[in-house]
Amino acid sequence: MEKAVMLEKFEQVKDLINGTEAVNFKEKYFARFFSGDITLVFDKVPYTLTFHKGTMIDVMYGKPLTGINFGLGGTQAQWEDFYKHRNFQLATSAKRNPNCFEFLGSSLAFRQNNNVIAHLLRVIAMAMAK
Amino acid sequence: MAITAKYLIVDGVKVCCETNNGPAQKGTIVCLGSAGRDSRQFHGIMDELKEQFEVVAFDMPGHGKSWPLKGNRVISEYHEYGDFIIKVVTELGIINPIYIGCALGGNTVFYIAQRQPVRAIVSMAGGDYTPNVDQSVIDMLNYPYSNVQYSHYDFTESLIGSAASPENKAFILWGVCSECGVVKAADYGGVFNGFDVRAGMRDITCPTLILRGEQDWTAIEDKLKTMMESLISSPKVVYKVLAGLGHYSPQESPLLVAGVISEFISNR
Repeated sequence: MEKAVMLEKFEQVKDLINGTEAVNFKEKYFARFFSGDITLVFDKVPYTLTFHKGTMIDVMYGKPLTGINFGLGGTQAQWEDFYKHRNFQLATSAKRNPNCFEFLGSSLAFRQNNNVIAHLLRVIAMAMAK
Repeated sequence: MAITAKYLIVDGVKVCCETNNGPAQKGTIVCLGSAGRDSRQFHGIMDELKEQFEVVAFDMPGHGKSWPLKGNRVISEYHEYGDFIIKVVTELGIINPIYIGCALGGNTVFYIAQRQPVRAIVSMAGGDYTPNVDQSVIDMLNYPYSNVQYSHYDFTESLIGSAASPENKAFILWGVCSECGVVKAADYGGVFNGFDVRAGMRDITCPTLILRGEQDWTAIEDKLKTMMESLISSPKVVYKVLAGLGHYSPQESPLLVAGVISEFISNR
């Protein structure tokens, strides 16, 4: 997907995650404790989403200059597969899924914020379906 | 009578055992739970079957209301895990039991049935082999900067089928919210990790029921079928897929699961 289209999609993600999904994201999935960057790579093209206490405040094309905090990478085919089933745990299970996403950055940060990135990806799937 | 509990001492450990006080004439069912959980996981099944069977569930060392092993340790190896269960059941005076197990318990029923005569076994979300996982995965189950109560919340939610009632779903999630890292690391990273009883499956001579939740994404159909083919000495092997249920089928729908188990035992 082209950069301009992706950035537009991420604006939709921002509207959703700060809007109708905000309570779910911040309360149920503990995003109110998360401030920082999440980097997602689509066919080797990185995008970094920035959060402050669970509110998405920025999206940029590229990786942070300070390095990747944590995130996921995959081919467009892997992302399309995820958008269909929306099962984050399956998409990231090396044990059950031979075609799982690639983990980026700190495994510890990924584990600590597992719920946050899980719901973020589901919201991305919602935006992609529109 | 409602579910009642008592304590036994097994290998010097105080073990909390519960019973539904049902009739034992058709056999006593012994419940084996999932990694990190306690006997409340089977209260729904115990209630549903109270007119038909005596159903017993106990908390392994460190789980629920049982004490840990000396030194605040938990059993972390599958032979030791299965052998401890056999000791508890022996201490309870149960002869020729029917074992039902979910997830880790679903694996353990195969271990036990290879070692002692049992009336029947029911494996829910279980298997005869679980491959080793990366040590970093195990480390993070009991890690000071990562709390399993939070890091496993979404994972647990993903395992629950859509047919689970809101109340049952909430209690399953309460289970993960109250998990202990030491216990989870021992169960998942120790007992479950590298569990392998494939070589002895031919020694199982009891009727066997294998249940899979339709929405349990951790259950791989091909592997279950290979496992069933290895049960060459079992007089009856039944496989059922439970529509709308996930990994925690006995908790998600105790009514449905109790009915399937009861029918199997009655017709074995």
